[in-house]
Amino acid sequence: MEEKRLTEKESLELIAGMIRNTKSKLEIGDGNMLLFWGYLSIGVAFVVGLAALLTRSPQCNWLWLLIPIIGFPLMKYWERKKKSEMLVSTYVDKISAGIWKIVGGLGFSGTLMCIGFRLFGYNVWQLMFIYPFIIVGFAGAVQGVVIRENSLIIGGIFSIIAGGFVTCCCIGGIPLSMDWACTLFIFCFICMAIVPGHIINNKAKKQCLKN
Amino acid sequence: MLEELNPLLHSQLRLAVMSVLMTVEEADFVYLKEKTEATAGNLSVQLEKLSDAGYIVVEKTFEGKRPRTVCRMTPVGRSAFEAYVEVLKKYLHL
Repeated sequence: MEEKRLTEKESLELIAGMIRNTKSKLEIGDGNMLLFWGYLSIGVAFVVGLAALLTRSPQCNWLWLLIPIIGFPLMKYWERKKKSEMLVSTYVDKISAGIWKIVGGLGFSGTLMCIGFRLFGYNVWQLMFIYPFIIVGFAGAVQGVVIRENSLIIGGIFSIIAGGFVTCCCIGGIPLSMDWACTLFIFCFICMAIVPGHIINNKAKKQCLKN
Repeated sequence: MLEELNPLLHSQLRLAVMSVLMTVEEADFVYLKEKTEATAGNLSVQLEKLSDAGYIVVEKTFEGKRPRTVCRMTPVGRSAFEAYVEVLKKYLHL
């Protein structure tokens, strides 16, 4: 492309063409981050459930910390790598990154709060069990609205409802037995992360082939 | 009497760059080069002109050992682009 002067019609055609071309390439999403957190959370839930079943010890709940311990360093490494390869960033990318940063921050502060209470002899770890259902579910639904992905909205809403149910159980003094609570946790992550993640990646692949 | 089209934007390459930057939050030099199919030298010159006018911000950073140039449109650039399109519409009776 040279620095040539254009007629008015050519200018308008150029603007429309460039915007159309850029937008069509940017519609390709990336479900890998959802899949990463989804599979990690399900894997850890499976380990916690199995450990609880075998030992019947409440100490197994410490294993939930494997999610942030494994997840955050890997995510940071991945994000840095991706950033160096990314040639373009959109407003949607900025919003999405912001949403998940808030979720991460809330998760971290929630964990610290639970540890703090534990030091004074109070067990409030149930808060961290409710967190993924409601906070992550809400973030998933908002992300779904931003990227216009219905499966993510539905999965997120389902998870929030499940979170409401778990909260009611906690308030009502119904014990969160590992068998059903872990199963519900796994099912929610399948709905709000695994299924939408695969759908988004599939759509991205189709978009790539189309372009 | 019709208003004159902004001469800084009324050039093929600069207008193409501005159109891309209107759609995204920020874009790498390599991306702009690929989209506009311009030569690196020509693109650098045009980016500098847009940057001097305050229409875009050009940030030169390092990603590891690799240099990276990222361009972003400023509010001034956005207003200029919108004004340019408005004048263009009048010319074409749209």
